[in-house]
Amino acid sequence: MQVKDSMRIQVTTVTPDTLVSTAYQLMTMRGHRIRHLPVVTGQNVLVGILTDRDVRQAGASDAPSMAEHELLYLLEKLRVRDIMTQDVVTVRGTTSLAEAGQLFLQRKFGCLPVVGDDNRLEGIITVTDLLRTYVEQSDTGRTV
Amino acid sequence: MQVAEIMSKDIEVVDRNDNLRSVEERMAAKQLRHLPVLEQGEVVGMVTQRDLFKAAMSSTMGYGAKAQQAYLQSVRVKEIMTYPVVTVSPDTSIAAAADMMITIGIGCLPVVDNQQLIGIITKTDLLRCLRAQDAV
Repeated sequence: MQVKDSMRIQVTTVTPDTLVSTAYQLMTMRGHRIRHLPVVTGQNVLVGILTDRDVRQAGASDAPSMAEHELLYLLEKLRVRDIMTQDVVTVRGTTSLAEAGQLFLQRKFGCLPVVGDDNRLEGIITVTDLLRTYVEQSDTGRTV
Repeated sequence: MQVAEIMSKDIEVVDRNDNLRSVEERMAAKQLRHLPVLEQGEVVGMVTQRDLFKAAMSSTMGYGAKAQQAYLQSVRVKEIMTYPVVTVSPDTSIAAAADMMITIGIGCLPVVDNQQLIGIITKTDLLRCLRAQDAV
């Protein structure tokens, strides 16, 4: 089986210009449990990924010389491009699930963006999606 | 296959009165996302990295690392822990455990025998096991 059989295609994304405070709200909104937000441009080209850890670190940045109101002002203006991770490991829809599973285990990732030609985002796949595929397959008595 | 065969037995736990800063340090040191809260061997709650993230961000966004640490130090596990906790028994099948995690939407299950915590199983443990069997 391949990544495209297991991936989610409805993905919450942000753009490089999205405010960090908005991204934070997207991650923690009721009903949302998001740890990774793919960062895409207008043409849906993947340019980075924003994790809860990135946001947390931005919120905790020490600036001892800055007055509190100055720091708050800066954070209000901070955009996703300023703190996102740019080197993103991706898979293709045609990557085998076995290979994706190895990547999760070896690199300790929880999520991999799925891209097509020109690095356009097609979906994401998580450890949970792999497990779900396994459960569904074993329910129907087929081997994965 | 049963969860007893693949669960981690070396379990890091916290007390309900521990402060969040010490919890965060232990999570970071061992690269853990979930810690069971134990009272006399029994699981009474669970604290996750997400709980810490929310606690830290909602109260100290923009106040600097020192303020965030001071705040976390002032909050105790019992104020933010999730309870009651969904657990499994050691003879639960791997497939049933995977099904539970997906259906309930949780990343880890404490393994409990006679109301005592004997292990913990995560999605990563399940994936590793399935990969080893070439099931996925």
